[in-house]
Amino acid sequence: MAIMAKHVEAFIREFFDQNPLSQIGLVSIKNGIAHTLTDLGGSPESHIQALMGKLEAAGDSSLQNALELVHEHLNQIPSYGHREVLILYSALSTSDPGDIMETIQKCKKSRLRCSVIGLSAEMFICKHLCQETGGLYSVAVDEVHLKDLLLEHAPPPPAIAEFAISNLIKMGFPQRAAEGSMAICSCHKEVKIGAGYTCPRCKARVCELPTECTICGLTLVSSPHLARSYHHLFPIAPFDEVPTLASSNDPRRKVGKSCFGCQQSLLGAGNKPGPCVTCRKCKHYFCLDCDIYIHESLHNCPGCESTHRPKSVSLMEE
Amino acid sequence: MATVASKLYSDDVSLLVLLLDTNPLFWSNTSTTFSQFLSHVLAFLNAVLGLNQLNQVVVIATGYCSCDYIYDSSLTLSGNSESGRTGMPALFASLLEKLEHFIVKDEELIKEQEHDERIASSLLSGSLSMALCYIQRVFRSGHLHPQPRILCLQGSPDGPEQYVAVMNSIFSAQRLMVPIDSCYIGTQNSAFLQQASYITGGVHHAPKQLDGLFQFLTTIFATDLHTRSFVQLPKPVGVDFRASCFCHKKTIDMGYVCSVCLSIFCEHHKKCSTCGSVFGQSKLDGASTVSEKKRKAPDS
Repeated sequence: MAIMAKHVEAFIREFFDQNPLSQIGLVSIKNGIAHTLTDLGGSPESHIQALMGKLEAAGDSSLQNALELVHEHLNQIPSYGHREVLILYSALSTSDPGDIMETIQKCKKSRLRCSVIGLSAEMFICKHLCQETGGLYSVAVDEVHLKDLLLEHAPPPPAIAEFAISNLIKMGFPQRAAEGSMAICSCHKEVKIGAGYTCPRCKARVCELPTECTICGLTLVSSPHLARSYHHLFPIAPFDEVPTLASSNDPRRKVGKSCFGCQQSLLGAGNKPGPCVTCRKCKHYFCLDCDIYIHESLHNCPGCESTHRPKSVSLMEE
Repeated sequence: MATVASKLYSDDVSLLVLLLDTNPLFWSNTSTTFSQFLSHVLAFLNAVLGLNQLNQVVVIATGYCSCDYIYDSSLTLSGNSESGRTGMPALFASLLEKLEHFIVKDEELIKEQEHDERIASSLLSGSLSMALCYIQRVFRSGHLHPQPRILCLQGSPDGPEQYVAVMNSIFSAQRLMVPIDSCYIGTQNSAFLQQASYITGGVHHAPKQLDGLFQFLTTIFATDLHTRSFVQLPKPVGVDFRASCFCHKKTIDMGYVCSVCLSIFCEHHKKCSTCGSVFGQSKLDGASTVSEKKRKAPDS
């Protein structure tokens, strides 16, 4: 149980790292009933706290009760969101108050994607559930395998284009208040000292981001969360390799004796030009190491960023 | 020998990459002149180099139209020791010479472009990217390297059109565990620098008066990463998390976000200009937030 909790904690952190705008709700299944541990929310800390606090196993488990509860929770999500259920199931049976097949059909209708990770042996009903709703079913053989299976669920599933209705969502970008300032937060209704965020519309104080303002209902996110994915939107074009032979005759080559990024000399052994690449837009030269770093981690071309672009051009690019 | 080297490279050897704002449009409007400012900075650089003989300083100039390296202490240490024509220590003669050269070139570039009514921001994204490339090279050089950090000495206001590029650099610095310190000497607040320091764990400070800049620089920004755990550094007075919209490059605190690609817009559009998805009506969006709130009310 402790092992499972540890891996779920890792999963929650990984999940929020990969899906900063998503929300998680935790549900525990024991004694034949399903309990809501945490409501759908976007803060990893509160989920992990609730998870660590309620660690016990007892009684029968009921898959149907769990599905009904989850269905209730996920049904309120707007249509552009993915509804996903991940069940960690260790029991070998399910004792249900009604017909579980009906519940499965209900889930299928409201487009819940259910995945199950079995902790003991393969069960028909779990497999059936996953097949019906388009989820994945897997059974963990040991601890390492369990961890791998869990983390496999962290990256978002491929978008189901026909279901996703794109929408513009109104969001606020709150400012972080000064350290040591005192205010009553609207989410816990307690006096808190220090770090908090202020809703730009109604000026209410909230403790953590991302969340929904409890006063005016505005979705509050921190803009760095959104910006983390922007390099996918504006990728930089691959650099061209400079042919070493032709470049020695190129008059421009004399300017680019060192890498524009890191100032490393581009001359190889014996003062012959070494391998280097050039950006198509700004025509600056880079060494291969910088090329790798720029494309894999930085996602900025230092050359293009350090030339002043007239406004008209930058608008046309987008 | 290896043990001697590892002892020399203890945790308080630092590589300081200084991003110097040389934007002429900013410096022509301030009470402090650029040369006064520069004398503070040069004294500070001398102090940093004096703190540890292995300390390294790299200076990158952030201009209005270009960015360039103007000083690298690892290159000049073995160089000639003749004193410069200005009577400055030899160490900084080359810096001043290159800086002069850079400013002249930058000004020529400004003249080339037609003057549009824009914010006089300097190219922070470019110099940040260059600094990170340099630090990446230091990391490549082996496991014995000084602890790198970046210090932005910025005066010009933020350029909202650089938002994505600056954020990319910040996240890259965060992954490399390189703190970005920032000292903002302009009149407005800089959301970029506040976010950069907050995300990477650096120090942000905006001194109220520039007369004592040298004191601020030495007491706050000269401290190496190891010393920082013992020193009471200024706490951030709030972080400005505002974003810039993609359509007009304005800085906004409330806006519309595309649910597919997370692009930010300042007003409602029919179609996303980034990913091309067509949006539903805005009324629907407003209604759903209200109904959601109503639905939530009985629960809580």
